[in-house]
Amino acid sequence: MSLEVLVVLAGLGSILLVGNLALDWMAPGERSGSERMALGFALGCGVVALLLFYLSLVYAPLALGLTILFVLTLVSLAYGKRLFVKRQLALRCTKFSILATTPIFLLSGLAALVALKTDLGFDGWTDWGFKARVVYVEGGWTANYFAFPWPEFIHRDYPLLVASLEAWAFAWLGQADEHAIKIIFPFFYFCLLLLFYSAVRKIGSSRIAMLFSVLLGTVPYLASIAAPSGYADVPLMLYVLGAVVFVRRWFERGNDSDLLIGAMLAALGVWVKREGIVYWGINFVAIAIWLALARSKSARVRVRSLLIFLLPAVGIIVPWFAFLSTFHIQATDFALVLDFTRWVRLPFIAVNTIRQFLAVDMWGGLWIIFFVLSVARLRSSNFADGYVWVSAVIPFAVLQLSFLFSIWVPFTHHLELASERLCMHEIAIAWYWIALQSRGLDDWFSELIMRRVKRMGDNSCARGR
Amino acid sequence: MKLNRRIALYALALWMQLVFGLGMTLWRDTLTLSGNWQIYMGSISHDLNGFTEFASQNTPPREIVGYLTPPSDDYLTRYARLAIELYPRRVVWLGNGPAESPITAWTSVDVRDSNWVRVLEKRDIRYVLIEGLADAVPCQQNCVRFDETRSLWVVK
Repeated sequence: MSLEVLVVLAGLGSILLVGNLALDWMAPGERSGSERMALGFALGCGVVALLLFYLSLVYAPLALGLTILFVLTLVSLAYGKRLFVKRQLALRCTKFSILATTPIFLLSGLAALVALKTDLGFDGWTDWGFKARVVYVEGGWTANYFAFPWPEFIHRDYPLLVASLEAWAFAWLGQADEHAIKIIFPFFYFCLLLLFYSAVRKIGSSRIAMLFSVLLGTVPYLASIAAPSGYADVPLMLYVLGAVVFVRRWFERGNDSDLLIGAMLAALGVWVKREGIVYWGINFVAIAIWLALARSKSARVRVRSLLIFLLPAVGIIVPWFAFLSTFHIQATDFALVLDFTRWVRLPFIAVNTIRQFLAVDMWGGLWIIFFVLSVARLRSSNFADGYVWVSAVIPFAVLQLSFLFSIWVPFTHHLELASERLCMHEIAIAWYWIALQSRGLDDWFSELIMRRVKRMGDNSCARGR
Repeated sequence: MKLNRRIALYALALWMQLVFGLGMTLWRDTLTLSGNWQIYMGSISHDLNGFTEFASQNTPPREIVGYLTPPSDDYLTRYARLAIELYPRRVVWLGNGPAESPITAWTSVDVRDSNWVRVLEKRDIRYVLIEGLADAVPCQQNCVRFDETRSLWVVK
């Protein structure tokens, strides 16, 4: 591993530390190490991207420098106080088994090895790498960049979280090194698996949590294509999975800090990719329905819960769309035109959707297991589990339907290029739903192991006689 | 008993998924690591590095630079790389021919038309990198040749 990669990892470490401060501030309390690490990184990326954006609005040439200065000062003061004044550990977390999470480390290490062997890929350069270079050269998000008529594929309308993170890494390196920043993407994959592990661990044993984490981590498209690439799909997965896990936890336990974390992650998802708005919308609708049905709660409590979900969006999503509208930057690739002749595209979209679910070389049997289990278990699932199911299925359907408005000629080319990635965003949620339906599996495993041990014992006794 | 059989079947499906997923991952990763498979098409030939270096040495920073090529998406990746590497110069792609679709990335020009230089003036372009058009736009006055097919034209 080169020195440059280690420097980028140090930069990511500082993001993790500032994210942990944000987490402690928003939702204090003990957490497992895996959950703390994943949430700390996800929230830290949000802190850096938003700070860079808001400081750029004030004075762009100094924004990146000020962001680094602010984050490092905050981290030094806060953790210095914890270590030297309060004499506490810097990170408060419950123990988590290193042994149980070893496969996650191994899979992430493999993804990192592959990532460092390849380049960012076309979209990785144009959508994120280029923007990161702009920030690094200019010192922040300048109006000149957004005002220049770049070709469509540069996608000025794409949100800024991943590009901000790459610019952060460039600043740590002191050069625009596209090779070293590739380590960012396997790191997102690592955090995704850790978050998934901790989410499943809440409902099952570490054995089941590890089994499903490895099942998620070895989905062929995710493990060997998305995780090592320079695309923003795995980062989006981290945010949408996190939102689903915490909103579901709020449905189950009613703890407002869970809702706040879910709301923050859902809003930050919109800062990763535009598709994040679909997931945010589904969360919003689910929460609104839940609150409408929760008659036992007072109106004040319901309004408060709704505000907890909406306020992060006001601070995170609304300014971004306001900014885009100020610069008259419209969505590329799609045009919202009411043209009924486009309904002829529906059969193509439907066939493509089914084909995507059945693409064994991409997903293995994941979607087959998911839909067979859906038929068997959906009636018996509660609101919270139903919400997880909807979050796994509806976004892909909505995003597929958005190709009715694609301006590509032919639109099928666009559909084929994007479908795999759109389908991938949901796979962590799909595995999470499957894990939720597998509560009986743990007992079965234990029984099986007990039976095997007993049989081995009997055999050795017989041999002894 | 029936329930146990169902769970056993379910566990078998998960086991198969695990083996298949792990196998596919290791196989694809091996291919990538050995250089026999590329994750996303995006690689460009190394000859562009020299051309980028040449362009950055011969054009001032913060200039708007044209990149004139035949009208083909074959040049898309090369243009993207040039636009990234040459920043803070802003590179505008000029395709010598008509646009093919609403998402075509190049600005259409026709170098046979004597007025085409007005397009450059309109966009404030004073430097044009020319590639693959040696016959249509031969390197003459105010032109620095990089190789047989590529040159830099300084617009007066």
